[in-house]
Amino acid sequence: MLEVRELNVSVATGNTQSHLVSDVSFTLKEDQCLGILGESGSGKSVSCSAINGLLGEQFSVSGQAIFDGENLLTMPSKQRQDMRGQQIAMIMQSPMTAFNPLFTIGNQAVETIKQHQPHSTPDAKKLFCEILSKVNLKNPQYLLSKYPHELSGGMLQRIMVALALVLKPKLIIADEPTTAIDYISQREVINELQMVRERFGTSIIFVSHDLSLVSHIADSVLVMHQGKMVDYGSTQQVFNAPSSQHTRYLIDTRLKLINRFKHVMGGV
Amino acid sequence: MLLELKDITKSFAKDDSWFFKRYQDVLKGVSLSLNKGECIGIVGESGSGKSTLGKVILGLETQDSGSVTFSNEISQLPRHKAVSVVFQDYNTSVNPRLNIAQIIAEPLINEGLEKSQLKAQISKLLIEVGLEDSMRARYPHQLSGGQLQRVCIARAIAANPRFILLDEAVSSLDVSIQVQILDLLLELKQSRNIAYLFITHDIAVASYLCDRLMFFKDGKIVEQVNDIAALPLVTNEYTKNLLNAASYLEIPFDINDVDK
Ligand SMILES: Nc1ncnc2c1ncn2[C@@H]1O[C@H](COP(=O)(O)OP(=O)(O)O)[C@@H](O)[C@H]1O
Ligand SMILES: Nc1ncnc2c1ncn2[C@@H]1O[C@H](COP(=O)(O)OP(=O)(O)O)[C@@H](O)[C@H]1O
Ligand SMILES: [Mg+2]
Ligand SMILES: [Mg+2]
Repeated sequence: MLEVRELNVSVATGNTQSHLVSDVSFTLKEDQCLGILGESGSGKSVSCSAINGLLGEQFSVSGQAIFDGENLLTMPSKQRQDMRGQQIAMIMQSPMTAFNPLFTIGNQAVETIKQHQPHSTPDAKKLFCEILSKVNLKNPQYLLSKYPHELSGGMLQRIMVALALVLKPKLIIADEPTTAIDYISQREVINELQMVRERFGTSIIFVSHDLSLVSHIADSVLVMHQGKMVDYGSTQQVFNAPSSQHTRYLIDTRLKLINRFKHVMGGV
Repeated sequence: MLLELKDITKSFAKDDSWFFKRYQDVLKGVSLSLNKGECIGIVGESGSGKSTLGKVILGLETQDSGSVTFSNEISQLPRHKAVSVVFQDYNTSVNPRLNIAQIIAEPLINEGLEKSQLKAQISKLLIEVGLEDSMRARYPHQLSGGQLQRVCIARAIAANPRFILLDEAVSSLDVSIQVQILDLLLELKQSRNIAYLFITHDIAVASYLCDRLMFFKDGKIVEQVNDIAALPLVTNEYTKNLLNAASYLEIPFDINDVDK
């Protein structure tokens, strides 16, 4: 469904060109989840933005990203924009900044839906309520009447996921979607994304610096380090028989950090 | 005993209403006591009032009622010598126009250290927190997040305090760097017999470092765990829920632990 080949990204700063991402390649099948794991600054967000055509003029991107037979990287910008609304949805780290604080959730959801689909306001509202129920959010009418600051970050992020689903995208790119929220809501968002795959057949690119989260949700994992792809394979393979030193290092430090907690909790 | 909090309450005026003042109770009666050289973790989710509690302890906010009492030994010292702090946001905790040596020197100068001794003392501190002496001339933007947090820790221990408040001190660092900083904190706790109040939302991090844990929710300590080994025995509904979510998320499944 999505095949990325030798993605390279560099950026011009002043008169020097610096390379941010080198030779990233992967394949993502329908209803599969690819986890992109790496420490901060390793090039995860830049790679995703490149694939989704969200990088500014100062960046140069080469390689291929074949989505349903067409190369996203060479697509005319109008077609690409449509693609981005309809087929590829993006969920960002900070749910608070994704919503306009001055409008109710319902207002914003309806606007977003109407931008892409010819619905009347009541129909758009109804559609969104249905999706909210499908992802197990209780009391959708009530949620629609709320302003962003009246809801928790976790709840907003779940609503973001639901909103992304309205347009039935084939691919959701989630860039650190749970980094800014608490454990209990993190678990809910992760479960929601799982369910989205199962029920809607949506493919997911799940970007995170958190090895545990990636191990929970991803079928395959790509590990990035200093702009390079240092490991890529099934989740089992990458975590149990990592081919790169860096992956080993990420696993070891993570295990060291959680060791005491894991030990007392009995390795649940 | 080093620090004792008795029934601290604090509310803030909400500015969302123009015709009558509404208040939000952020701390609803918090009591705890911290012993010498001990590390207590305050664990709770965002908005629960942890940072406000920290600010009350540091005297940056005044409580509405209740008392903050430091032991005699400490209350005789000037505040900056007795108590120190390290915040999450290392970028805004340092003055970007000062170099590393100047940043670390601040509390030393406050303490009245002679200029001739300053240089050697800064070198000692840099090495103690695992940085190279050659970093002294660099500026904050030339350091990585982990290095800068080490500088903040060097500054925090410079005046040889008995107590450091750490508010989400490792939360914005990569896991590998978190482990290094936590190990540094453990070492300093041993070598200098410093007590920590470690505020965090991250139960795994708290378990790594702390002797005791206080679970914090809606401005109250809802459960206290005096022995980390007793974590699975918590009884409070919220604590149980939090631990379940954390165990589920924190522990990667199916990864062979090489230590075993
Ligand atoms: N607009 C930009 N201009 C120059 N460099 C950038 C820009 N955006 C990101 N970078 C650099 O690209 C690298 C990768 O960044 P990013 O993809 O955001 O990392 P992460 O893996 O944390 O998402 C970093 O070194 C970052 O400093
Ligand atoms: N100076 C302040 N004025 C008004 N409200 C505040 C102030 N400081 C904190 N609050 C409110 O107190 C609550 C608890 O905040 P905080 O102590 O920062 O929680 P935590 O550190 O656990 O995330 C929040 O709802 C916050 O908005
Ligand atoms: Mg990023
Ligand atoms: Mg806080």
